[in-house]
Amino acid sequence: MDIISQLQEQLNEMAMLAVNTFGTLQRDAPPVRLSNNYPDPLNPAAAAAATAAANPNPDDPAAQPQPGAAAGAAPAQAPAQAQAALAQPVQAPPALDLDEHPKAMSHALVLAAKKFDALVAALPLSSEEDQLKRIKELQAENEVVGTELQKQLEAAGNMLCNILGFFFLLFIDIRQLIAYKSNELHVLLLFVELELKQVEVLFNEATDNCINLKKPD
Amino acid sequence: MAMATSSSYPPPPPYYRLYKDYEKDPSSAPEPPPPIDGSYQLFGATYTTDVVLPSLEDQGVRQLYPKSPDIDFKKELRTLNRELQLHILELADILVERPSQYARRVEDISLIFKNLHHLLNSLRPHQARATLIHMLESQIQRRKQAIEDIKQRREEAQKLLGESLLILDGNQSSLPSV
Repeated sequence: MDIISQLQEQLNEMAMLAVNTFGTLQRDAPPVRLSNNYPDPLNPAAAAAATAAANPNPDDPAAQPQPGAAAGAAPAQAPAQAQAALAQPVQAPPALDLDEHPKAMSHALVLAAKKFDALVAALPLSSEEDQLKRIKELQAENEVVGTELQKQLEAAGNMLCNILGFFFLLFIDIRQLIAYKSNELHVLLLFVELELKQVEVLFNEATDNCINLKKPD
Repeated sequence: MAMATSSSYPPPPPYYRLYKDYEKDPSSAPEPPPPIDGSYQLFGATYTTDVVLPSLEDQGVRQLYPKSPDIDFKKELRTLNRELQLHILELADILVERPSQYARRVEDISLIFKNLHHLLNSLRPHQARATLIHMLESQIQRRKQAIEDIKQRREEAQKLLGESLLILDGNQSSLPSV
């Protein structure tokens, strides 16, 4: 990917990290105590105990003795359990999320900003005039090199024609050579044939002389 | 129903009648229209053939970096990046101290992002020129390589041709005359 597209992607990444950071913080943030007159939302048991100690209520069912032993035992256990549960503070969300997430997200945001700075530093920028000047120089050089290439191609084409002509002449020479050799063979064959005929004639004379018991000359 | 169907699709343009004898006589049909130059209408919208990046002011956005023909892009990008980080921190502070006033900070952050993107888009013509320079350099390099290759092959072919002619001349001289 080219560096400008990388920079654009990095910007989008930073925007995404920023909105995700704020969105996560807003989603996971615990409630805030607005006033001392309101109970602490993070610790309602302490508030309830303080309220009970300040204003003991005779109608409070937790403080009244229940009728029946068995019935009394279970209800006695229930309020005791309820009091024990109330006495414990509300379980806060895991501290890991509230402490680590913002750190991790802000770390990611800072890293993204540093990566953006590094990409900006790596931008190969130059002025428009320098670029236009370089383009003109390259165009002129391209014209010259193109002309030279055209000349070389024409020369190579001419050489190819010469080579083809050479092969054509070679082919003609080979044909002539074959024709010459075949003529030579033909002449040789004629001589051989004549000699054979002479040998045949002499053989016939010899056989005649043998049959007629004549002496040879 | 049929009327609704026919009215929903416009009829084709009547230009096709002008090309009735095109196969027999191509010159009987009109020439195609020349390419459009400038602005034109297309499906009710106005477009232009000049591909120019509109300025931030044309888009109704405030420009945060200085307006000059020679902008130091690197410096302005770094400055806007710092501004962005600062505004994100300020937004976090505002959300803690005065949460109802978040809108202004969010708008400022959005403005900075728009300026950053516009700066990056302004670098595209520079990238196009750099790409053209790279293409010309590689084309010149390939042509020079081709010239060298052709020269070398021609020399080799010339050398082989000379050797072949010498061999042939030697063979021809050794042949007996008929």
